[in-house]
Amino acid sequence: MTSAVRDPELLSSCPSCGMTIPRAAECCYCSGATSPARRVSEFKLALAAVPALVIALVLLSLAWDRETPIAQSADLTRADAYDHVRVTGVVTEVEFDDTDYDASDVFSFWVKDKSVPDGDPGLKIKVEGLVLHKIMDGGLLPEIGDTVDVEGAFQAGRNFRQIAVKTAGMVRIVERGKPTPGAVETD
Amino acid sequence: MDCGMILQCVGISLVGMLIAAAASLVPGLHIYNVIALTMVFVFEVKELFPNMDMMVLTSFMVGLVVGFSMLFTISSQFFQPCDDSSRYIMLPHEKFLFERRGHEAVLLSAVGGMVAVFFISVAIPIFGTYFSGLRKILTPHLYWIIGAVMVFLLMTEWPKDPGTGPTPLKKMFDGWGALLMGYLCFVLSGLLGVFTFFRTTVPVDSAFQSLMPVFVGLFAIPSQITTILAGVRYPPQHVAKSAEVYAEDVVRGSASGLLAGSFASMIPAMTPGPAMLLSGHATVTGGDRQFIIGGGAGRMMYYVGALLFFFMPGVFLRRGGAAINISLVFVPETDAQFYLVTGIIALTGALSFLLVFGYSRMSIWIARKVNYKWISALGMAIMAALVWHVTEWQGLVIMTTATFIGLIPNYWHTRRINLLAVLLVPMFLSLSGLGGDVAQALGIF
Repeated sequence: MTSAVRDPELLSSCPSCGMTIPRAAECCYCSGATSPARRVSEFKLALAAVPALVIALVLLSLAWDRETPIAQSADLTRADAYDHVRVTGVVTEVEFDDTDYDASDVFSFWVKDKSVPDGDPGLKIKVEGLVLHKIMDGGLLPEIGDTVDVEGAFQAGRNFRQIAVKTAGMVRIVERGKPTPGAVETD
Repeated sequence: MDCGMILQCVGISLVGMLIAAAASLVPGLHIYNVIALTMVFVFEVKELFPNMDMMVLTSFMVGLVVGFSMLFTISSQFFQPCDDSSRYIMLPHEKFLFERRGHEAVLLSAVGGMVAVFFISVAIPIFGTYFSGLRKILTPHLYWIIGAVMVFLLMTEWPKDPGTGPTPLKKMFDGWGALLMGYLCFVLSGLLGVFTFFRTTVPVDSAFQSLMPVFVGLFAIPSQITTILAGVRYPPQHVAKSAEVYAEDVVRGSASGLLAGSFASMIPAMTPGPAMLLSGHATVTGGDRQFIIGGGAGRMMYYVGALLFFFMPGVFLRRGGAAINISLVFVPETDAQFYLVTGIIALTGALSFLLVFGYSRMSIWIARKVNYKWISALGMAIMAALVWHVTEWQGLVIMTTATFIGLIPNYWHTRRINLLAVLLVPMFLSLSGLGGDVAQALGIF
C-alpha cells in the first residue's frame, strides 16, 4: 500500500466484503461496488415483501369469497365432463353397495333440482371408499328427502351422467327432510 | 370457503414454514426428504383425527415447501465450502464465500426467490390455464426433449485438465480421464435409475419414496463426506448491510431462472440444475449476480410453481415430489382451494424472504462457533436415519450404492449434473416406449 493510501481519509471499508480499501469505485479485493448509489440497502430489499403480503391478502380474500357456481343438473352435458360442478336439490333415491372391502364400498344417491322433469330421479351422485366412510363417520350420509348441496367432478358418457365426490366436505346437508312421494331406496 | 378454515390453513402453513427453517439448517437435506418424513407424520395424524380436513395438512406441506425453497441453500452456502481439491468448478456463490461476502450472495439468491414468488402468485392465477394448452402440445414430444437434454449434458462435458502432462499419452489420459468418468457417472446413474423405476427393492409400503435413498446417496451423502474430508478454511464473513444489485441483473437473472423453473415444471425428470444450464445458454445470462439471482428464482419456480399447477383447476399437473406426496391424501378441486394455496404461497414466500436476513446471520454465527465438519457429520447421520426409517434396510443398501456413484464427480473433477441421468434415462426410455424392453434386456423386469 502506498503512503498516500495509509492516510485514513483516503481509506474506507468495502460494503461487500468489509475489507479496508483505498477509496475507489470498486473494491480491490472482491470487485464489489462501493458507492451507495450502486447498492440497495437491506431495508429496501425487505420492503419487497410488502407487496407480496398485499397480494397474499387479496388472494386469501378471493378464497373466502369464491364459491363454485350452482349448476342446473339438466344443463350438464358431456361437454362439461371432468369439470368441477355443484348442484343442489332434494335426494330422491339412495343405493348402497356394501362390498368385502371398505375401500370399495359405493354409495349413490340421486339429486333432483328444479331443472329435472317430473318422473326423473335426477342426477346421480357417487361416493365411494374412504370418502364414503368419512361421511358415514360424521353422520352426514344423505337420506331420501334431504336437501343437499354437492360438489364434485362431473362424469358423462353415453347415457350416463354423474358427479363423483372426491372429498367428504363436498357433500353438505342443507336440510333434513321427509321422503318425497315415489322415492326409492335400494340396497 | 369458510373463514375459519382459511385461518386454520394459514396458521398451519406458518408452522410448516418454521419447520422448514429448522430443517434447512441441515446442509444437503432435501425438501423431499423432509416431506417423506412429514408424510409418515401425516398418515399418523390422519388416523388420529379422521375428520380433519386434508386442506389443513396440505397447507402445512405448502408452507414447508415454500420455506424450504427460500432457505435451504443458505446452510449449504456456509456449512459446505467448496474444496478445490475435490471440485474443479467453483460456482459464483462459493466464490462470494471466499471473498467474505457469502451474506450478499444469500441476499441476491433471496431476491431471485422473491421475484419468483411474485410471478407465481400473480402470473400463474392469470395466465396459468395456458400452461394446460402448452402441456397438451408438449406431451407427445416429451421423450425427444428429454433425449435432447441428455445429449446436451454429454456434449457440454469438457476436459478439466490444463494439459501439462510430460508426455502426449499422459496429456491425453489426463484430458479424457475426467471426460470418461463423467460419462461413466451418466451410465451408472442411468442404470440405477432404470433399476429404481422398474424393480426397486424398497418395501411396498414405502414405494412412494423409492427415489429418496437414490437422491440422498447420489447427492447429499457424497457432499457430506467431501465436506468432512475437506481441509478448506474460508475467511470470516462480512454481514453486508446492502447488496450490489442492478435492475438488469434482477430482470435477466430472474427471467433465466423463471424460464428454467417453468421448463423443469413442465418436463418430467427435469430439475432446476440442467434446466438452469439450458436457460443460461438460451438467455445468455452473464456475471455472478445474474447466476445467483437466477438460481434463487429457478428453485422457487420449480418447487413451488410446479406445486401450484397441481392445485390449478383445469391443469392439476402432478409434478415433483411435493405434489406426488400431497396427492396421496388430497384431491384439489375448487377455485377457492387454488386461491387459498396461492395466497399461502405469497404469504409464506414473503415471510420466509424476511427470515432470510436473520437466517443468514445465524448461519454465519453457527459456522463461526461450530466446525462445519461436525454439522455435515450430523447431517449425514440424520439423512441415513431418515432413509432407514422411511425405506428400511433395503433403502440403505440403495443409498450406499448410490453414494459410491455420487462420489465419482468429486474425485475425478466431473460435473455432478451427470448424476441426473438417474431420472432422465428411465424417463426417456419410458416415454419413448422402450422402458420395458430395456429393463427386460437388463434382466430387471
